[in-house]
Amino acid sequence: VEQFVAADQPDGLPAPSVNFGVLYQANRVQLTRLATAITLDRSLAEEIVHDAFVGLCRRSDTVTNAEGYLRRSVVNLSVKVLRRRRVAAKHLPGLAPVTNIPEIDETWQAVARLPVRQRAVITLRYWEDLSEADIAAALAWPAGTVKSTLHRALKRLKEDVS
Amino acid sequence: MTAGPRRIVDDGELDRRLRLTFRTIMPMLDTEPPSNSTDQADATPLVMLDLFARRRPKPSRFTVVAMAAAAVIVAGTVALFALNNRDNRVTTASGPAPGDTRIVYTRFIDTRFSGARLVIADSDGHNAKELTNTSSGSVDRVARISPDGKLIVFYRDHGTATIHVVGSDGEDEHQVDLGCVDPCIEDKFPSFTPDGQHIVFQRIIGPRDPDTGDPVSAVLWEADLDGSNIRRLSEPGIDGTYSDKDASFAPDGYVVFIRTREVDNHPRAVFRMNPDGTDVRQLSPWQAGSLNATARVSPAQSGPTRDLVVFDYQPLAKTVSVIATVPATCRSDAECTAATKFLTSDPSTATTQTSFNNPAWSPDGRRIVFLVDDQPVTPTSDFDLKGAIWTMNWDGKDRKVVADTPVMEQEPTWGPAPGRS
Repeated sequence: VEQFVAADQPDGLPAPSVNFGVLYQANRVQLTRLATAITLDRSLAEEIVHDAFVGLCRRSDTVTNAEGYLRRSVVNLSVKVLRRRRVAAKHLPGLAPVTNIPEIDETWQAVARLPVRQRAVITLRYWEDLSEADIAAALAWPAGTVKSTLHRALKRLKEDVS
Repeated sequence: MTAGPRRIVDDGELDRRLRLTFRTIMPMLDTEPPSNSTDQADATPLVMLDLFARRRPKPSRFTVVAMAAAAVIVAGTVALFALNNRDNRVTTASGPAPGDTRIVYTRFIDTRFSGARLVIADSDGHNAKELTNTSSGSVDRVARISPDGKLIVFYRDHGTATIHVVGSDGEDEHQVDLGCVDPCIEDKFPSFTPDGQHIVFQRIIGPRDPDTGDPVSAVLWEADLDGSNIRRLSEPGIDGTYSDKDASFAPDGYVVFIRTREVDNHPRAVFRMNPDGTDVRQLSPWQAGSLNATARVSPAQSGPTRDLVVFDYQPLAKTVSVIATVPATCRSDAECTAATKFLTSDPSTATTQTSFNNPAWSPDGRRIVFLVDDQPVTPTSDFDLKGAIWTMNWDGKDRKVVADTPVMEQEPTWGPAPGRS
């Protein structure tokens, strides 16, 4: 997993003035939730968040927005790891219902069945409440890519839950 | 439940449902790894019993009951020891005099993880001093002490990894020239052979797969201490299917190591083999992949820990590791499973976020040094990521702290002091 971090490295930025422990404390839970929602694998999510922090400390001299870097790393690592497991991912049954509230469990199952990039964008949109522009900035994706990915995801979700 | 007629969900309704779903589901992802099973009842209690679930029948009801009873006893014992040691964190380890042996571990230079150096200390943690002086951006990792206690071999990760040797007094640090040139990418996880004249290491050979990132080969090699006479140690034909790392030699010659399957989530297991790559046997179940997995065989030539392998075990459905032992002499999955003992907690019922990793034997095989990694479920305001180095008896008793500082410590190893081997 670690090797993928390099591809997400913003270049040419000055060193951060952040305490790593505070940063970890403030972001670990949220990042792990984010990675879990995308990968549907809590254990893998823990590893991804760990690797994102390792990637950050290796590049601490060149990262200014540490939280932004971490979120971008977590999403990109999650997407890449799942692509790496694409055969298994195709057969993911999705998470078992955990609330026993049909409306929620049905919607969650539909989210779990989305392709990983669509699930990542949906998670950022509806969990982190980011706008399309914010998602594009967070992931360093073109705005058009975010827009079309989100559109396809919503279309698919609507069909799935209707 | 009978499904009713489906209704059309419009944009507003979908938006509302998604927000409600994420608001409800996301906090629930903190507590347990998601299970693909719809039957939550079978998700946890049998994890410990089902070590080789995909390769052997389910255990009998009697076995389940017996193992559950054993788990309860172990958990109770662990809790008792935890209580006994709560106010006794800075004490002196039993066994040989603390100055007779040394513990070497990795300590990060700050809480920003901007680099890490090796530290050497007496086995009770006293007289700690830095062995290496790496700068920001380099991490010195996975040290091993030579059989005579005079040398420490480790790898330095500075983007790519290189293997280095340093004297136990911190003098004469140098990189071992192993001739790693393209397509060789890097060398990692070094250790000494029993005679101290050779090192065994993992060599990563490229190119990496553009989709998966997996290298062409990541297996064990051996070389003279000066880097010459390189030869392959792992069995032939496994490249791309398995990767091998973290070799550790038994006193009479066989090797235990971590093997990872290059599939899915890269599960790992403890294996043993002869030093010529023959008689490869699996000693532990496949378990969750980990960057820090270790396995060491007891150096004891006799006594209760002879041929006993200590390793960190993380069940596939769990996020924390425990310390376990298994006899390297077990001959079958069932035998190995039955003989596996958990020294720190029952992995099937562990509910805390405390993980136990990186175990290594003391030179006399009587105690184990290991890492305690606390990960509170709910971070507190003064929480900082850190690991603490502890030791305990081979049976899990008498736990004592060696190092517990505000920065992260990890990957301890234990060896003789020079002149005391």
